[in-house]
Amino acid sequence: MSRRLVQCVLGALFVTAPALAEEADTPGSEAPTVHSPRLSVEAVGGALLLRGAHVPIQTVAAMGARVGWDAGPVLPAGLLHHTLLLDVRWALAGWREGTELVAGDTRVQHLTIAPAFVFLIDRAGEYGVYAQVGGGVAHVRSAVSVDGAETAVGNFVPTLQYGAGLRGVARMFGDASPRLSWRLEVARFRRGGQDDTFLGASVGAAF
Amino acid sequence: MHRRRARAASCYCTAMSTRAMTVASLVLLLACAEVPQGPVRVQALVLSADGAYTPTTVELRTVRDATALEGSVFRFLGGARLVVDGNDPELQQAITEEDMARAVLKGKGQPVTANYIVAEDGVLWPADFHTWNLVTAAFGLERASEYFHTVAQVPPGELGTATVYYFPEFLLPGSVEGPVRDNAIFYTLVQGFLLLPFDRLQSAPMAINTGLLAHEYSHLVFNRRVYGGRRLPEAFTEWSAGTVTPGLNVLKSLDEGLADFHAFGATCLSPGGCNSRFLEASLGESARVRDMAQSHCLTAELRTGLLNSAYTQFGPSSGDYQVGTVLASALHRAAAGDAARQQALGRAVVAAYSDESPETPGLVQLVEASLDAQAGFTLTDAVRALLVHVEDAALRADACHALVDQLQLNVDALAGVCAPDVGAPTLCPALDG
Repeated sequence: MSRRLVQCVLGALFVTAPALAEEADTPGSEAPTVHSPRLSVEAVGGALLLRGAHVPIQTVAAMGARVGWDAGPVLPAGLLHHTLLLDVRWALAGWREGTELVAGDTRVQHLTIAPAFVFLIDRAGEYGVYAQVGGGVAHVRSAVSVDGAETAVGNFVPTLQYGAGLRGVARMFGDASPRLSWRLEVARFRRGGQDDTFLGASVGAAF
Repeated sequence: MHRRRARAASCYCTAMSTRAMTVASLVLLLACAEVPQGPVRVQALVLSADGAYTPTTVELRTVRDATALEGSVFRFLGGARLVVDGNDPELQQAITEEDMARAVLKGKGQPVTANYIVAEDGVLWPADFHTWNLVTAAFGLERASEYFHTVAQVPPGELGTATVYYFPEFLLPGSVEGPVRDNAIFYTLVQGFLLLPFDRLQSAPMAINTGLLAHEYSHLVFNRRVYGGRRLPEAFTEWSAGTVTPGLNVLKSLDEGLADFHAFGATCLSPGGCNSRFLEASLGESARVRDMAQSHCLTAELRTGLLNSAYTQFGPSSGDYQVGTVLASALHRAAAGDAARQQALGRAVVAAYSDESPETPGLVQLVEASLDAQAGFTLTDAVRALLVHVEDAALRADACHALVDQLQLNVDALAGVCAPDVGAPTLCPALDG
């Protein structure tokens, strides 16, 4: 693994940022100069793969939103200048099962903050692959209804998020804003003893 | 709507430096697997006294792993696949009972993984419908097991750990089109329970019907005691080939009727109290014909079917259930709504399953004595075995009266157990012959 990749992985764990900041001044490590948007807002949709009670995997639809902030430019020019992206992501998945008399409604929400490290893969700086690690909370709400009478319970669980994906910030109006912002992603959320896997995409605008 | 607050999963951080706490948090998040161990307090859907299923805190006393729902009484498996196909070469080539079980069980399934939310008071709340279903089924089976231990005095450990196949795919090609649904079965061949998916039945799922589960659990007890735990009981293999199978018809009728009687007894230990109509919650009003609190009499048609038909006709026409309901009804009538009498009868019935004493042979001994000629195993002989194990004289006399009356038995054939003056029929008009 290259030294730069190792540093990025460690950086994702929040423990080596100062050291990276010092190394970012090393000559020759700067990325190509591009005028990237700073803020993106995207709608998220896809499939959430959960641990099923009686089947290994239960797949449900999930939807949500994400705000991404290109945080690199606030850092000194160097390694992270064009690669650091800070995501705030929320997604909701819900499903209902049961009979007409007895049914259960479950909703799982993930709210996470995760820095992402983007590796640009084109000269124009519009596309990149990224990996990210972060954390937040999951909220699980379970409601059981019997003949229309509902009883609900919910709680928050600390959550670790990690994943990878493909990111695009495509020009729509030349260099002017907004740009088309999109992603294809695989993200995992570890809450308690469970792992939820999200496979999906997002699309929105970058300003 | 009721709402409950719940606390986060059991991962806590104390005061630490920011960096140390960050690292520790990540490690805890990665390592913190909520797997409750040992007896646990959980929420289950329990039939309350007002007749409604209500989320209720109960204790699962026998579980070792609340996530996998494994313990000394049960072991739940999801995703199993069973195919009973006469054209299956594997089944055709099977020689032993174990071979046949392996041939039928195409997919063994995997342990279930119940999902919980931990409430502030430590009670585990099911986080999805199937976990509600699973946990309540576990509770029902545990209560049924407790009934047989405490009321029927079956020694702990005799019944072993039962495998529960939850929502398996159960196929009977040639007999049923598509997967079998809307049923709960104790399937002797795999020595396990099948809690099948629901489809047309849209009322209370069978998995949460503790009375129905106790009925199925009673079949397990019957299998262990009367059939010696065999996957293919000898009486089935020896008797089923006959063109007329009176012994098998009686045996299956006893199995069904006594299962209903025990199930009723088990409901008496539940928060909702004794419930003779426990089937209706899942099966609807059509199940009212099996309400043992109603008056049931053996009809001439039923008696003819019992004595003169093959089980391949008697069973599919629900003859065993109908005769069983008459039997359960007579025992229920003898108990007269008294808890002590009900329990004494339950105890006597189980004691009658097997008794090696020549003076008071049990069902298994009677069956063994008639393996070569099933006509020798009669309803009267079976009832005699039940009655002789009723210790209280007054209760036995009442049971004699009810059974003779409703099952249309010849009291002379019960000499020594029932008094000749057991009484004239008071409920059912005597049948000719």
